[in-house]
Amino acid sequence: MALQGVSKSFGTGLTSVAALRDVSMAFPEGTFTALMGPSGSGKSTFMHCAAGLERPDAGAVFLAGTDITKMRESRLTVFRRNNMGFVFQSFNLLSSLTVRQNVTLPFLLNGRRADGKWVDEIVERVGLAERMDHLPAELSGGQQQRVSIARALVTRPQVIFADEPTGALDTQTGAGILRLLRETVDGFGRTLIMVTHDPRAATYADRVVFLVDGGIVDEMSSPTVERTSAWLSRLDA
Amino acid sequence: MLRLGLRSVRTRKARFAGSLLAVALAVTVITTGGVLLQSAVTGDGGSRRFHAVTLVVTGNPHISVAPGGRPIDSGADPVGDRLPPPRLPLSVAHRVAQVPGVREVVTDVSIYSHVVKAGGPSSRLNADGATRGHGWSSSRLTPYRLREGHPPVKPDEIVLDGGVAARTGLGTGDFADVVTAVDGSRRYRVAGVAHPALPGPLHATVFFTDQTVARLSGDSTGVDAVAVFAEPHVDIAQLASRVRDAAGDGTLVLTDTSQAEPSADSGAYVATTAFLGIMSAVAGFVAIFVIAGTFSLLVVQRRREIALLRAIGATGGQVRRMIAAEGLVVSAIALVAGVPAGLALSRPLAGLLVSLGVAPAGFHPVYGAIPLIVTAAAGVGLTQLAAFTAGNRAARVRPTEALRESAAPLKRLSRLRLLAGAAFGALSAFIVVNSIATGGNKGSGDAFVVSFTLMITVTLLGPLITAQLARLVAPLIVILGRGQGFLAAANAKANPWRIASASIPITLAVTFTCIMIFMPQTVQMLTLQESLLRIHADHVLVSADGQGLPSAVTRDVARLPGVSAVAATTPIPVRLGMGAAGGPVLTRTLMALAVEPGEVPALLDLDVSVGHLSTLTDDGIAASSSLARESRWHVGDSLPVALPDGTRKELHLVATYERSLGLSDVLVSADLAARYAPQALASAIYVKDDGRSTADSLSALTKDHPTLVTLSRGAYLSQLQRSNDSQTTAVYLFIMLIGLYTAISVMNTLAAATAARTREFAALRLAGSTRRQVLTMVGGEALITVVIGVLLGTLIAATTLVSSSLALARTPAFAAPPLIYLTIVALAVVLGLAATLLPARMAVRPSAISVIGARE
Ligand SMILES: Nc1ncnc2c1ncn2[C@@H]1O[C@H](COP(=O)(O)OP(=O)(O)OP(=O)(O)O)[C@@H](O)[C@H]1O
Ligand SMILES: [Mg+2]
Repeated sequence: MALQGVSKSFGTGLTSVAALRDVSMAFPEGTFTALMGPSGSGKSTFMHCAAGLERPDAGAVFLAGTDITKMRESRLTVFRRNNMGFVFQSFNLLSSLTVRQNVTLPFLLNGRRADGKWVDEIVERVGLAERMDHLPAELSGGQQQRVSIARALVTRPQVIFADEPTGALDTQTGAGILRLLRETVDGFGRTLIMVTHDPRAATYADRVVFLVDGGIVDEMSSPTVERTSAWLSRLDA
Repeated sequence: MLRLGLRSVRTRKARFAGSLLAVALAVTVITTGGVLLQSAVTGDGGSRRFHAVTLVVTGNPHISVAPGGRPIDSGADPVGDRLPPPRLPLSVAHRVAQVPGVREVVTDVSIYSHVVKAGGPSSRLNADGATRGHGWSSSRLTPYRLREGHPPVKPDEIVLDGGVAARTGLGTGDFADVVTAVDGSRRYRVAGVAHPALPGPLHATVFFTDQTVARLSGDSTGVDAVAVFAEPHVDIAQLASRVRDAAGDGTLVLTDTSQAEPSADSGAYVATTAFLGIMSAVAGFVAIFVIAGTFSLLVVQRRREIALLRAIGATGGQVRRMIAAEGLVVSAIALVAGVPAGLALSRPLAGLLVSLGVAPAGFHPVYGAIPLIVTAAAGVGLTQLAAFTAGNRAARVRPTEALRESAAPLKRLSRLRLLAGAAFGALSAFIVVNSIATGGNKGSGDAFVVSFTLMITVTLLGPLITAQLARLVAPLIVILGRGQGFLAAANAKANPWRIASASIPITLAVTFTCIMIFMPQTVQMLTLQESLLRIHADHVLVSADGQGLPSAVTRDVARLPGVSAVAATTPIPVRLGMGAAGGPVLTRTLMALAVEPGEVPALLDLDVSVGHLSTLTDDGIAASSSLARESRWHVGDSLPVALPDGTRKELHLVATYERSLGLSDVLVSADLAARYAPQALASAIYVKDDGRSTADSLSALTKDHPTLVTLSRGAYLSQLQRSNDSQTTAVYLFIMLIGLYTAISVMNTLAAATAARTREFAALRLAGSTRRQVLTMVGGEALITVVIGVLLGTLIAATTLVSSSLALARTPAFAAPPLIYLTIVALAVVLGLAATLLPARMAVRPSAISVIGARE
């Protein structure tokens, strides 16, 4: 997965905001990258462009050798469905569907039968085997987030995007989610990109990329709490 | 996708309950309207008077009036279809009698008659329409059988049918006064009483001797119908074709004898059909809006969910199919619930129509397949159409919206919608201009269509218009309370879509209620105004039975001392070739008024615009300016006309006049009517005094003329004002029913829109608002919504009414009693506020944190 000279701005004229300025970045297969930066620095925009949810104004996004910015809307949607997974900050589950139905929703959209064994394995892994027939409203926040992760994994995507997946969780639960994410990289060989504000969460990643004002300003491999915290506090100064 | 739709419907019962209710109600309304409309169209069983006969030959009412007999057909001819066909020459009967297979022919003559007890008081209004007079030989056609007495033999003997005998209290041997067109009132002796040998509705009937009725028809060389009794075992189709050959041109041979003359109820059925047609059109229109509104709301409510599906990888097409599947589920359930309800409702409604006097006594629901097919098609079709437009909007929801905390409201109208809105706006403007230019009844009818096109325009451009209006109205609301008023105004400005979809049903309700109530009142007001200007007579004479006065009355009035001028107006049906002279001819039957041109100026000021009425001789014709304009006639043109007896003639347009409302669009000379329509009766006789009062001597005339009613000018005008009462009551009642339906829909839409904001209210309360403050804010928004709805509704209704008035009478004035208008507005306000505040109260009842905590 790679971005090449991606730019994106919102609005027109005086109110125009440049959210991303000519960003290029590569994400090797089987790596876990954390994206950090102050609020409004363009992290979410970066993810949305990388995931094809938003069309960049300029630049290209490559996944498995294809430039997804050149794809037509409906083809892109199907491509996204099969090759990318998403975990959002707020637990975006369909409240009318049970846990099982939420997890297998991508299959339903594909018009295919869910691979039962694989679904069971994932659900087992995220620890929701007993909760399969519950509605989201009957689950805790952490459990709901684990459902999102299961859903993101179920299509065996090449890349998984997670926008502040632990933002709304306590430390304990958050740690569990992060371990789960780490495992998807180590165990299944997925590429994972995660936005976070939490230096401790960043330590689960292989490297941290720092974004300021829509541009990449720094990169750090094998991050520790101290180094990332120090870096972030330098920004404030 | 169907599965996803189905599941969504199942788990969101509460949310779907609203749209289900809306569609089910629409289905109910369409079913009821369809059943009643079909019942009215097919309810008239025709005349049963020729029941015993094999074939009937009548004159052909569809005579070509074009010079050279160019074929033309008018299609539907609402006046002509209810009139008796033209008369036949007696020679037709002789020719038909010679046809092999014909055992016997009987000629039938039908005349106006009004029977009262001799010397008795003037009879009250004839309940079952006119009594018809026939020759005794016609009694075999039904047949009638004598119960007492003997057949009429002497010229002054009559036989009554049982109904007439019972109503008048006459029996065999009694003396009766019978009013006819040719004789006026004349005394007869009742020779017997006869009853039809078959049950069912028939005209009230009086039988004369054959010679007497021939004389009373005013033309003994003509007959109204030739009834044919066939030899036994003759093939009827072959006989009919032989009879057709023998009868010749200008005749009609009917094997279905029920079509030989209009039935006693035919007029009533036409009126019922028209009434139900208008009511069904309005109800159907409301149904379309309600269903469309429901689905667009469904999408607005579920933006986040749809965006999430898009983010996960649902294509736009999949979202569209999901909404369509939901529409299918909703319409299927709605059909199952709504159709039986609609069928059940049609019986009491039919009863209501009968008891209100809008429908004839025999009116009852007929359950055919057509209304059901129409309902099913409409129910599924409308929901699919609504789901399609809503689905298109849903498919445009962007996936990233799911990832933002507060879903951004849709800001833009699609280009297609803007274009369509502009097109309907332009169409509305065109209709207004065109209907005013056309003028007359046609222009006024066209203007009614503007209410529909404007309504569509407003719906299409709704958010644009409401955003502008909200800016205007909002400052008023800020007074409500600084904080809440401000919030309400800000919300209204920021959410034009929500305001639009909530205010449109209110606009709809206000528009149609106003138009349905004020339109007839306006026509009545304008008619009265024109009559006031037109009528210079001191007295107006009319008939008690509504059928008209014989010419003998006019003659007798003219002889009275103190009378300086008398003019009778006698309606006769004429078939006119419409359209410019020399162009393609479309035939339409109009009721022309026959007048004595010399007498008119003293009694009726018609405001002649071109030409002179004094030149209205028996080859002349005058037309209202609006009819002349519509048909592109000019004074001096010669117009092809077919007269009631079938005669074709060219009449010259001698004048056009302005004051036609409440009179007629066409005038011909009394001479012409006397020659070609000897049976015609005067609808009114206008009388002017020479200074002495003639009121007493006029009243004394009622002794000789039992159907005569004499009215002073003032009394006549105030009677005009009351004339529409029974129709008006029915209109009110049906408006209330449609209003109730609209009200439920408004409630439904507003309640759903409010309930969808539970989270927003909770957030406000977490930020420190009290429940009361939230409710004040919601109330403020509701007020803005209602004010906008009422404003738009009033504007549309006013535009329609002004155009209609301008078309009809060249004045923008329309009737809108302030009390009724204010009641409508008050109801709309109460409805709008209640429908918003009640669900809002429910929404703020649970603790805020529990709402925020319950994630979507
Ligand atoms: N749909 C949008 N319309 C207008 N401006 C937008 C939109 N989305 C993002 N922006 C702007 O783009 C910039 C980057 O936003 P983005 O959401 O990427 O920031 P972020 O780094 O994710 O911030 P946070 O850490 O607060 O989530 C911000 O200035 C934001 O206001
Ligand atoms: Mg963000």
